Amino acid sequence: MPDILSDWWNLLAPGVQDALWFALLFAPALLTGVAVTRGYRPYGLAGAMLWRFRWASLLFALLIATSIGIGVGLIAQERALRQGTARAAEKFDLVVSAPGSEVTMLMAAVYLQPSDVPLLSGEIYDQIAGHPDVALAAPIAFGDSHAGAPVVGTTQAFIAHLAGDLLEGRAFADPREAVAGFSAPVAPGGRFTADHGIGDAVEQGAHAGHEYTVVGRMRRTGSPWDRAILVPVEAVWAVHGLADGHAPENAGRLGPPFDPAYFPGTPAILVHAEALWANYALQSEFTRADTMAFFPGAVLARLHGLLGDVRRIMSVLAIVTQMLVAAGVLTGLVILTRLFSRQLALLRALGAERRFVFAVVWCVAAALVAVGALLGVALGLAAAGIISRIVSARTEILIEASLAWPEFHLVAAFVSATILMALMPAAIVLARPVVPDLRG
Amino acid sequence: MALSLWVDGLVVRSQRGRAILEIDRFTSEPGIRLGIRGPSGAGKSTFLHVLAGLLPRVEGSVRWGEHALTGRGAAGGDAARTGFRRAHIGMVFQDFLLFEELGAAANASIAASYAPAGERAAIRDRAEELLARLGIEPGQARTVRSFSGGERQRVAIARALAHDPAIILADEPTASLDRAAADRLIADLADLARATGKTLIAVSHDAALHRRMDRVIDIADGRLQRDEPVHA
Repeated sequence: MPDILSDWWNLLAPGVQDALWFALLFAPALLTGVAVTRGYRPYGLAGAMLWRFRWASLLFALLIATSIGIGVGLIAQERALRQGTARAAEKFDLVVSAPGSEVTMLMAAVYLQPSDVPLLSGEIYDQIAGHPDVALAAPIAFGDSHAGAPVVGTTQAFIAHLAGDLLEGRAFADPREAVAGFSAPVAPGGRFTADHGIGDAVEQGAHAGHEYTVVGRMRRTGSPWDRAILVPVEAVWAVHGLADGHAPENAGRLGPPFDPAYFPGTPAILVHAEALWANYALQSEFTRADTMAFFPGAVLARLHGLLGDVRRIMSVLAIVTQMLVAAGVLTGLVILTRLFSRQLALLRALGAERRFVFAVVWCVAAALVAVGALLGVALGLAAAGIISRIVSARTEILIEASLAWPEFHLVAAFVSATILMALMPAAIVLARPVVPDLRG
Repeated sequence: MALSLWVDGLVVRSQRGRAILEIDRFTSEPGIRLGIRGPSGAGKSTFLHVLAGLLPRVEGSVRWGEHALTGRGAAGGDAARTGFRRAHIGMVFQDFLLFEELGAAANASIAASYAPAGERAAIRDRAEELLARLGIEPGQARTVRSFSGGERQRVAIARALAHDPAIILADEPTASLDRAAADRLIADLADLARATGKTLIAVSHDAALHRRMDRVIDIADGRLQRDEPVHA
């Protein structure tokens, strides 16, 4: 591309670039249409022919719709997954844990997928919490559950950081109080006891003596934390028969500061710094032999990169199916035009020029492609919507599929390519002799 | 504008080269109503197709007025013959050949969909006028699928005349109709041709149709047999 053109292109807003791309991809279809139908009114006849062979036509349109739907659904779903998981991790600026797999820790601390991980000591917590750049250092003590929902020990400050003001009720003020996530299986006023472990490894009755009362409910976060029940970290320690993080003279205190000597340990610490640069400094400072500091967003980006590779492979498969479908549709159109042959011969006998007959056949093909493409977009969106809802229900990660430019680019390219290919069956029709076809 | 017909040394061959129609010389004056009769397979319809310019390869010369369809002076090939058909010929077929999914008016004015923009309105107006004259309500929404045979053939006649051609070519127009419908159709067709001064050439087995013609010719074994004026 000449420099002046690429400079101009780079100056355009992304939305304008996308719209121009769409126009460019769609232009061949539009221009072909204008050129083929110029000076004629073939639409009524094309409509009559489509209606005469409506079931065959519907089948073709559905075939095209399915192939477009797969492509559109795939792209929309992949993007929705990427956006949903990124949104769920948004509040987790920096996570510090014991050295190990970042992905495992990401899954455990951010997405609350159960995992056995080593604990960080009170000294480490103290170093982080006492660091001048740290605005918030919250222990995240997962491992217990109630009715399948994770029970996580943390601080009130973490709840405020994660979801802002409470939707209803108040913060916990006692080790026997809890705050429910937006869609947790408990409601304010309810009581429950936590089980040790989560999922299949649950050990019921292990924490029988310790009953929590739910005193508040969080706002929706669109993350797995919506299903969680948050309790004071002191309570998690207490039910496991450990010290409660505070020296005896501070007994009954809730939240920081904790006394390193009485701090039993936490699997992960969420760290939040006011300044962006400070996050990088902290990450580098706490990446050492006994601690691992990582940005969940960066780990996620790597996972998305991997997902992107899968998407590219799937996209190639989708394009291959689309080409196969297009080839099938063209073959079908050639057969379909044989069904039309008597009507087309009649038009020629009545005095219609070859180009008009060509225009009628092309319009039939273009209508099938256009209707199929529109149906396909709807089908893809519906499929992505259903899959998103299922994934959302299973993971509590809010996944919302929507249409964006890449889908429209795909559809425009498909429509243009197929509509150009539809010139072929239209041309084949013209080679047929009139009189034998007229006799039927 | 009526056109006279000249046929000279016409030979139509089958794909294997056998002559299926041979007419040495034939002429007819403008505005005539001409019946063509003869046994099935004798070459009547082939003759009609030649007169319509529908057969791409024939020997000899066929001229409508100054327009040569084949032979000496014929230029422009298929496109020219198609253009001539569009301007000067209206066709009626045995099995109507209507677009079943369209209504009476849309069928009768089909030529408007490929005519130049300036002629479309006139074609539509004439189609409606003809339908009304033939006793078919042009404004009705139902498609011709529900029409009787007689009604369909009247729609086909309106279609053949909507672009105001000088020549009407009809191929067994009454063969798919019952007697009453056939009689009405013959009357309509003959009267319309007479009233508008158009040349009507009808291939038919129907004696009732022949009685309404000015002249009837016989074709048998691909040759012109007899040529007689008819006096009703």
